[in-house]
Amino acid sequence: MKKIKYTARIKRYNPEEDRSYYQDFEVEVEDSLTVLELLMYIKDKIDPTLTFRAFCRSAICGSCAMIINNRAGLACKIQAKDKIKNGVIKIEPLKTLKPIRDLVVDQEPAFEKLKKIKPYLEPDPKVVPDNLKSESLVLPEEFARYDKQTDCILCMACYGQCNALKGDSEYLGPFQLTKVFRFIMDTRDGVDVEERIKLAEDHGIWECVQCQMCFAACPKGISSCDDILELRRIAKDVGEENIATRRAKFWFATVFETGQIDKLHLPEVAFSDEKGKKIRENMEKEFKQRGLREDEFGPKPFEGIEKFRNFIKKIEKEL
Amino acid sequence: MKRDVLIVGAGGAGLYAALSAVKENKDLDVAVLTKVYPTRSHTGAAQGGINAALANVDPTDNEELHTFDTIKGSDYLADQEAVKYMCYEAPKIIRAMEHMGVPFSRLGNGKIAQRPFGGASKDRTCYSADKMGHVMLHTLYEQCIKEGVEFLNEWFMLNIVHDGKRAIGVTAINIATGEVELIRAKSIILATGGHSRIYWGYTSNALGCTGDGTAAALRAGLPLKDMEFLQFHPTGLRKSAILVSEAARGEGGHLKNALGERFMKKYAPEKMELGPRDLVSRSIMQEIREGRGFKDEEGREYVHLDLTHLGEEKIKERLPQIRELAIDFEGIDPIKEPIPIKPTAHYAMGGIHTNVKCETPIEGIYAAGEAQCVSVHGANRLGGNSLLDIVVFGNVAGKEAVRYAEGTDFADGGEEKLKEDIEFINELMNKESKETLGDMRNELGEIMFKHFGVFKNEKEMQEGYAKLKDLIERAHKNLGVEDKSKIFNLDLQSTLEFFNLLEIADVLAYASLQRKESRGSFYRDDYPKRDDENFLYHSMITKNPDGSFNYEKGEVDISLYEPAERKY
Repeated sequence: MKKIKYTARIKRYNPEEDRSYYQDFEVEVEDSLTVLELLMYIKDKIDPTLTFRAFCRSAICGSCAMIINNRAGLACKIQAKDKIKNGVIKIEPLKTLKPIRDLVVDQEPAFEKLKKIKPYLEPDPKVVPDNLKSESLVLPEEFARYDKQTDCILCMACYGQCNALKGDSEYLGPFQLTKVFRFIMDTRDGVDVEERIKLAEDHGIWECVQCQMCFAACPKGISSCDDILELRRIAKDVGEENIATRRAKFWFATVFETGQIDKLHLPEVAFSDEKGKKIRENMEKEFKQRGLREDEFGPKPFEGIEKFRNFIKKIEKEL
Repeated sequence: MKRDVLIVGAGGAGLYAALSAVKENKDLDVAVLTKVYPTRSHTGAAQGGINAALANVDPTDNEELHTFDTIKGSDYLADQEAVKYMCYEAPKIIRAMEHMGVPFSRLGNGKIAQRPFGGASKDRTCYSADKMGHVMLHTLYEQCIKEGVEFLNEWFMLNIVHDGKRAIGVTAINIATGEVELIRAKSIILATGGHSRIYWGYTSNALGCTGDGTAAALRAGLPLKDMEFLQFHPTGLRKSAILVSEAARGEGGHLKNALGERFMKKYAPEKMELGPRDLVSRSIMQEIREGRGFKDEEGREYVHLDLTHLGEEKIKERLPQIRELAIDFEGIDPIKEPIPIKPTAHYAMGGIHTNVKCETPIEGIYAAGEAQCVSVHGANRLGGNSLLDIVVFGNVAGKEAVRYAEGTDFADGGEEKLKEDIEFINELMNKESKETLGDMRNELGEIMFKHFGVFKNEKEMQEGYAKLKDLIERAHKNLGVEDKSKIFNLDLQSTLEFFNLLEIADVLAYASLQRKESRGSFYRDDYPKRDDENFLYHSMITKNPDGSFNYEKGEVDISLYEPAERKY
């Protein structure tokens, strides 16, 4: 049995004093411990007041998500020795949820957001029988479209490290949007795709910044950022006039005109609300600070743009 | 606080009960009280599948065969009419869940896929890769959101309160605040799960499978049934005892000893690796006892579960979670190497005694799921029957609890019990610990695994019982709560759970000593044969105020099949 010595640096929160602080625990333990086993060791042997959630210890219940060396993950699934850097392993609570005590965070806001998106199947009477004598028929390839997404254990690792949430605290969150995708893909679901997309658009799919941290955090390898891209594509297809269609049209128009995306005006056109306007104003302010002139803000046609436009027209005809 | 129907526990049984209750009567206040968030419960860890004679794969399957297999698997201790009810409900409830959105794996024709499982005569186990419990639990939770079921998350039940005739409510502590309350309820459903954590360190179960409802039932004077029967699953991971599903053998995995032999040919020549769990567990332990097991540097003994011949594609498609577990917790990829495994304490057949309507002897108190003992599993549960049991009887309990609540008003009383519980908690909080909880829990696990493990005998059990009694006495004398905060005090909760474990271990040890035969999961070297003449009965245990036990013999329903010798 090989023992190793290192420091567990744990971010604690004392609710009675409303105070966060780091505490170092020096340990000498078996090298095969998971982070959860390390925490249990500290609680059993050093400090019984150390507080964290844990249940199944086999990466299926989703209780023990936390930030380990700046990356969200399940404490029970991660080997402690792999995370020791310069003799220290740093353990912190999930970032975007308020701490209740030590590593325990308040999950309620994230569950409330889940409830907003109709996170359940409403049977489509054309597919789901109305009696208990038979099953709905689902082909394996139909199930395969959302099989991966049903692995979600609601551990909130993705949510706890989501960058979009830092910009918009009302943002729905990655796992919630994966759930929308899962139900849209389910042939048994009777909720109109338009309705599901509408729910996903409210502080949802257009707020995602595609940083892919959700995918990096997910202990089940689910890529919510990709699900969100899919949802954006679906949004473009189902709506006559919505963020997706406006975005697509404007994107195409400016690329056709100039050969580049007009990032300055794109949010304003796509969102077509106060928020979009604000984004433009902020960007303009920043450009000015950098010393740009107003006529330098947007993209301008490059030399030989006619050739490019003809090429696009040709492709359009072929399509 | 007051609720018409209060369900304690948010696993499969609790959630199904909640759904049935709200669908049955929308006007009632139905709430689920749970010590963890709903989808955390141990139902989610069930991997392999759920049994129902859908006959999608084998058209010759039917409910009657399912009934017989279950009774035979139980070593004839199950109540046969109850088993029949469960097996005939099975296809209907599977379809009901399928209509709710459970993502089952499918056959080429679009129907629910089924696989072979231990002790089953046909390919009967419906599955979703190897994460059946997970997808079921999440779907049931989704439906609870749809139906607007109320959840009291992170509340820990302390005691069941009744007036000797009918339910009053439960006392519970709000973990977030540390406040203790009496929650009045017309009907209470105990869906609090199993208690295999008495084998601390030697169990596949979650840290929280501490039999809180079962222990509370015992304290409330309700009878516990067949507590000596606790199943060891043959394939737990060597280091952590985490479960490797029976699906691994269902899909064709081989068990091999250190000589490379598929040793099951000696013990179950026909069914081989797909013998029932009790038999396979004993076979593995026998190989180890006779020196044909492996031994690692730390002295852990084990055998191999070999999946390598199944090939990468099949393992990735059918057993992805098992592969993930083996990689994470043993550092072994089953595509390339055999998995080191040993039997692990897994499932409590025994529990709170109820009839087939989930009623306990006190009006308005029901039990469902692993906490309950109808009994449909008798002395040994078949794989794939527990997920079935929890939804079938969760459904019954939900409906019965509503029926009772509709015809009654809230009962008075309970203030005394609340006062007592608050005092008890204060006392624990103010006490200085002379021993540590962690060490004592490990000691409990060691005692139980060594003395009440896969093989038992009188001498070992008597020695173990003496050690257990000593541990119980020391715990009451020496154990306090070292964390003094009221907010999210999990040290307090773990201490209360430990006291529950001790109470249950005491009953299990006591019941084990009374049964001088071998039956199903309960095996004694000194009485290796089943003895129907003297022991074909349910053990029924209640606790007296002075802490002693009453032991009674309950009748077993054998109205359908005459008990016969069990061969595989």
